[in-house]
Amino acid sequence: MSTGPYSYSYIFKYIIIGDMGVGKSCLLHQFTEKKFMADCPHTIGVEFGTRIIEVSGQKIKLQIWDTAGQERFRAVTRSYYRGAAGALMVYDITRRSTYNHLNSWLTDTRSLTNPSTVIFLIGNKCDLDGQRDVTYEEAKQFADENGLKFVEASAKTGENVEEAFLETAKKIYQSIQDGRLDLNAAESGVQHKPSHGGGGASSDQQNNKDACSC
Amino acid sequence: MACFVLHSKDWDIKIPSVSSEQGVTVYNINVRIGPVKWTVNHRYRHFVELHGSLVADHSVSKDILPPKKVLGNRDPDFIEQRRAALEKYLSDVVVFLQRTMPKTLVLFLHLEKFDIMFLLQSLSEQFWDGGSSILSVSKNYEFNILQVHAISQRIKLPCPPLEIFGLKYDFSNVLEFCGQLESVTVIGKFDYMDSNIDINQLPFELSAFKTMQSLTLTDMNVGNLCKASDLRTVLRELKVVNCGVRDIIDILLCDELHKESECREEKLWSNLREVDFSNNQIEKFDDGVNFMPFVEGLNLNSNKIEEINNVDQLSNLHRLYLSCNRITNLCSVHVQLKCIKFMDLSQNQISSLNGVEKLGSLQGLNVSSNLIKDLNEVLFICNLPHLDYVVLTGNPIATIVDYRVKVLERFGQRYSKICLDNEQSTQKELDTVAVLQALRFVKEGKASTIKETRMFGGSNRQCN
Repeated sequence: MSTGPYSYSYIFKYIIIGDMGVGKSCLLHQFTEKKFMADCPHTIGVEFGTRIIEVSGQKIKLQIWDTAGQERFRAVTRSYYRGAAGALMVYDITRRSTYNHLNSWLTDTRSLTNPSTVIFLIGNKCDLDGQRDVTYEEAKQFADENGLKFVEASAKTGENVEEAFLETAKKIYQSIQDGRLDLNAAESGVQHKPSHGGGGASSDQQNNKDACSC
Repeated sequence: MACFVLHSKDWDIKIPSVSSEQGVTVYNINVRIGPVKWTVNHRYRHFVELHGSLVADHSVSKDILPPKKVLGNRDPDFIEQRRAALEKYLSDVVVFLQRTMPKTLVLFLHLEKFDIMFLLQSLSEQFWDGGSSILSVSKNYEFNILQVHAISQRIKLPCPPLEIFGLKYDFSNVLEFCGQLESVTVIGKFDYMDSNIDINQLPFELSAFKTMQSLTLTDMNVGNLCKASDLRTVLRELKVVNCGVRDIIDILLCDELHKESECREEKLWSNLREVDFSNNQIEKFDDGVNFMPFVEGLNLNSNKIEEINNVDQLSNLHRLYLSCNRITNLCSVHVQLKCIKFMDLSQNQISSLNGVEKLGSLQGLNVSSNLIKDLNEVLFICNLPHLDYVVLTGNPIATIVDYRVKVLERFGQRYSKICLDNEQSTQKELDTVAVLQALRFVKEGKASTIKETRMFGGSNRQCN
């Protein structure tokens, strides 16, 4: 049962946010389908994707809500923050304006999610280094100042995409292990599914505590 | 459709009238949420059942339902009094339970049929419980237009995805299920529609169906499919059946306001191979066919097509179904259908097969129930090198004595390869054909060809 393709012991809810055209849907598509979508249409409202990953031997299902970057959908986007365990905040390294707006995205995220939500900053389109408008160092500093994880990625080549999603999951899982994240709270964005994870889920958790080096 | 969450202050529930069904008094409940209205009929007993559940599980106070009465409960004054009391009861209960809206109350008011949120909650519940077992049997699922409309609207509504009722009712169950389907059917017809929702005016889009390859739309206004851009490159099979469509272009450019026939690259349905537009009102092959250049099978059964033309661009078209149309002749068919392998032309008004003789790749031909009278019409198909399946039944020629043998005899050397009218020839038939052919050979010095039959004169060079 626990080795079946659809079994998992946790569900983590993610949200992807950021300005229009920074490549949120493409990141999601690259992560779930491992393909680059060349002419991706504007997201209307929200889109949804899932993938099952493994962290420290635990199968985790990521439920990813990809939001519309357009201003007219801001109310829709805001309604999806609640109960997100992970927030991927995306900007485009070739467009400074998308970086400048990060503060407002961060304000939204901080006020609409809970304190244990892991926020991961992604500088997308790093394959277009020639057209770079935001330096790595600058963004790294912004991330450090605000306590965010940071990586530059490319939805086109797939570089660092996997890492961003997995690192976020590892951090969330770590919070669960440390007891900082309350699984029973509806707002935590994490669901435990012992029935699907096999009977040994809780003991596995104990064993993996030592193995988890993240 | 209704959305109670967005109109939580703009609704009312009235019981304007009562009616009698087989001696039982039925209360006609009018629910209005925003601009949407519908009617639900319940008898007093249903109120009692609802109340029982609300009292037990949702701490509704016990004494607010108007009491039972055993005698005189058909007295008009009493009924009027009870009607007013029940009206007040329902409004009070909905105000009290507005935040939680328990399922019994939702079902009582038919919110799960007409309200976007509650409809999707019940769909979520269904997929949560049985979605994976449905998908393990088949990646095909049938939705009605209200469900698909609700999904399209829901992704644009500012409502949190995590419903207060928990994961079981979460919208993500619906999206996850939809994202795994390969084949989707949307039905636009209902047997329950006691509401002012006009199902012909419900726009929908299909972006939630990410892995869909086959789409079937029936009984609806296809113009409501707004945003077909994603479908154009992925959809392999498209069926639009019984939708009253007049022009093919109306389907393939359904998301365009102005149906310009100019064929732009991004408007092409580049992956479309199988198309079924049967049971519509299509009169001709309009410029819409140019938007599906790679189609291999085209079904236009039960339309109003009079002529086969304008399809010469469809260089991959192998199968064409035109049963129950208004076709009268096939003269120019060879210019149009260069690599056709199978044609169903049954139930038309065709009297001659003239033109078919040039369709060199034809393997099967169904011309049953047409107006073919003359046995020599068979000579137009007798030399097609790959033809082995012919249906001629239901034509006047099929009433001729020894029709089968006479038809087969005209196929010359190929007679034994032909399956006529879905029947393999018996040995006796084959023997008779051989004898007839031998007799003809003795009599005329050669086998039958088109050339010598008077009606075609000397113009048919191809039949030597």
